[in-house]
Amino acid sequence: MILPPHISLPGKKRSATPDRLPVYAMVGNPNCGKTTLFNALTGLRQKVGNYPGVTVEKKIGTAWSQHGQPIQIIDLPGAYSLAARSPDEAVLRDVLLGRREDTPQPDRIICVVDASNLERNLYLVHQILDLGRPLIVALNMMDVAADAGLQLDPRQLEAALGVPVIPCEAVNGRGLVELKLAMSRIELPLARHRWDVPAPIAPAVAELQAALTDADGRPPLVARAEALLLLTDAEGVRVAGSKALSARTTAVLAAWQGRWAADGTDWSGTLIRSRYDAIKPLCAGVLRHTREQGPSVSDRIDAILVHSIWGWLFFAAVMALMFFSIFTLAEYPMNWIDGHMAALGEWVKGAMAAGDLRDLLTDGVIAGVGGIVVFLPQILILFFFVGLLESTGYMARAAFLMDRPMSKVGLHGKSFIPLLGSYACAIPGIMATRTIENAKDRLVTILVAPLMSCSARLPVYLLMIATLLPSKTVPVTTKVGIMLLMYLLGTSGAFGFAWLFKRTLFKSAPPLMIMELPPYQPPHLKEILRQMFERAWLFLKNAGTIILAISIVLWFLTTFPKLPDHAAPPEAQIEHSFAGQTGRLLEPVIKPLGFDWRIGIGLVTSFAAREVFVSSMGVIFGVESGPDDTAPIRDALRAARWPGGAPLFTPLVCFTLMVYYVFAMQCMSTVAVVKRETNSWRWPLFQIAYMTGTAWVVCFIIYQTGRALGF
Amino acid sequence: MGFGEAALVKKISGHTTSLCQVNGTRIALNHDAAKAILVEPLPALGSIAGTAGLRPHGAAPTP
Repeated sequence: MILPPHISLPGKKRSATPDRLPVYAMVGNPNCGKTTLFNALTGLRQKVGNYPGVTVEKKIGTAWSQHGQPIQIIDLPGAYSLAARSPDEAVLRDVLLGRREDTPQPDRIICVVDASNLERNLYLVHQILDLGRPLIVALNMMDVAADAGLQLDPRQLEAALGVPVIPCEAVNGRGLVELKLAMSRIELPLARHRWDVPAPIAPAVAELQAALTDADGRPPLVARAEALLLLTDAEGVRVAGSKALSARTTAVLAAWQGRWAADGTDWSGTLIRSRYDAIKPLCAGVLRHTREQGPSVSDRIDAILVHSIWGWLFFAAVMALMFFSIFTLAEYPMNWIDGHMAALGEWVKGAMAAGDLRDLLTDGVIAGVGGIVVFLPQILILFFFVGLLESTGYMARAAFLMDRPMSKVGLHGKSFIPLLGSYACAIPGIMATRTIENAKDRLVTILVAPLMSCSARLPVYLLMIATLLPSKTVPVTTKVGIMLLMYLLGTSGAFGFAWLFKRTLFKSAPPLMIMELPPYQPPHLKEILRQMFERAWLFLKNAGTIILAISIVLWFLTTFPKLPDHAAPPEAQIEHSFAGQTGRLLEPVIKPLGFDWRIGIGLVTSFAAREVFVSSMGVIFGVESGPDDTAPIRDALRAARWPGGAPLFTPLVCFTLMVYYVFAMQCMSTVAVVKRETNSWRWPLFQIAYMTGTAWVVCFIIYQTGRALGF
Repeated sequence: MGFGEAALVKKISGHTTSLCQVNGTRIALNHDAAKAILVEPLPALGSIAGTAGLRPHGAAPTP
């Protein structure tokens, strides 16, 4: 089949023939079951990546046609309309309009419609019909509509729109065969449905359409659809990778906007209303209420779960369970991974001749990568809970409950889960920010998440508390109190900086939260596990490469230059190394905080991971000690002296060092993930600067004030 | 999202962040988002607690 010329870009004809099956784009409103349908059609045959320059997931899957031929499907982000309010929605708009150079304009479109909410869903369908692309409407969630007392007539809708309308229930696998049959058709009818643009707006649409066709190379129907969109949503979000409009189109648009502004009439609103006017008769002919709609099961559950008292109690219980699982259940696989990575290192040591290559593999590659792989169980558990909460529909309720407290510092309710997850590890916390639509809110959450005290800080806190209060007569409550103080400091820092950033660097209008609360559903375990492993693999693949590189650099810094005496003890070698020299170079900077060059080495090496500080202290002070028994290191630290004989680890220094670890950005894995999630080195470098700068200033104040007070 | 002209809005719960029912869908709105939507009580449905209708665009706001 040769597709009509108006739906192909000049020079990029993408005709659908039995040899070259068309590429489908799958679109739909949020919560319409689009991803469930995509997964049901494609199974495990999916490729997940990012659209270049923007952190929006790009999912491409392969389904099989009636004749066993592969059909490519692009799963586009959910949106209520083509008027983009977030980077996800901008990607949807740009792909459909052929504005993205990295993604070809799809040949055909599957628009997934929530049958239980037809009128609202048809707005997007209506905009897509304007594009003139062959379209299939998948009328999903027919079971939910029936439960709500709604009877739909798909044939009537098909007749009215002129495109195939397939009723289905993606969750139960119903309607998939019919949908695949429709997708396998060599020819698809083009839409018959037409709507009249209000007469006073028609000249603007015509002029803008001509500009888009001539100057921007858009096919005529796509140009008309884009003209209608620009006239209703000129200020839509722009993202990297989106082709800019030509000067002529921009000028025409500005001229019409100027005329309308002078006229004082809300023509944009008129255009939107006329579209709804066209949708209303469609719904009236298709939809019938079989009975009076009473409270649904979701309504009854919501009566408890968003209740002002029971809702909070349930929320606290869910969060406690999640937190407990991340800290306790993850411990077993983490110990297992840790043990096997250590065994692998030992095996390599035994199998290879001693030398730099062996040290690079064991101390650089295996230790560095092992140090991050060990957090994989925590990442998987956090994503399991995030998936579970999203799949059941509870995530939206949690965001609703948390919106009020989070809004005090200018953040969205959805920022809560990433921040909570960061108590375990900032990496999954930062990755969980993908659920936040607003780019500024998401970036602020990413920037402050590492301030929440993660589990890697615990060994440092424990060592310092043991050094600070070595006596067994000190009540446990005092030690726990100091530990809690560190957590409180980190949390206050995160909220304080979020408040500051939202009023300075990321100043914007208060976040508008308009969020649909989807009906409750039983969790789809298969989907949750799939998403969990997809995210974990993305993390290992992308962050792992950067972490590997930084691990090798850190190994080099602690290994070279070598001492001429190969039998020299490790503490002498590390002192002689670049890391040791850096520690000495750092001493003038960190001395006002009460730290000497040996602590400086610990600060350099623990950039690999904060807990490395403990083992570094062990090496520097020549003590063999396991992570569970810090007594030998504690005693060595208490015995450490400045050249003049004054004790190095005074209680004030121990406390200051803990505070330093609360605020400083001491984690290369987090840096790598922030770089990946923000697609730029700018933000991780800013994060290192503001966090470490804050750590220095706060520690300086604490140490110098403490000294002045005689501590 | 269903907040169209003449849509019936039922406030279900919440103070700063409100939970509303519009066209069979539950929608959470924070205070600033709610302020941007013009709503007026419908006289005929005034007896139903929390029920209101969206005012047509351009009409004078209800005091």
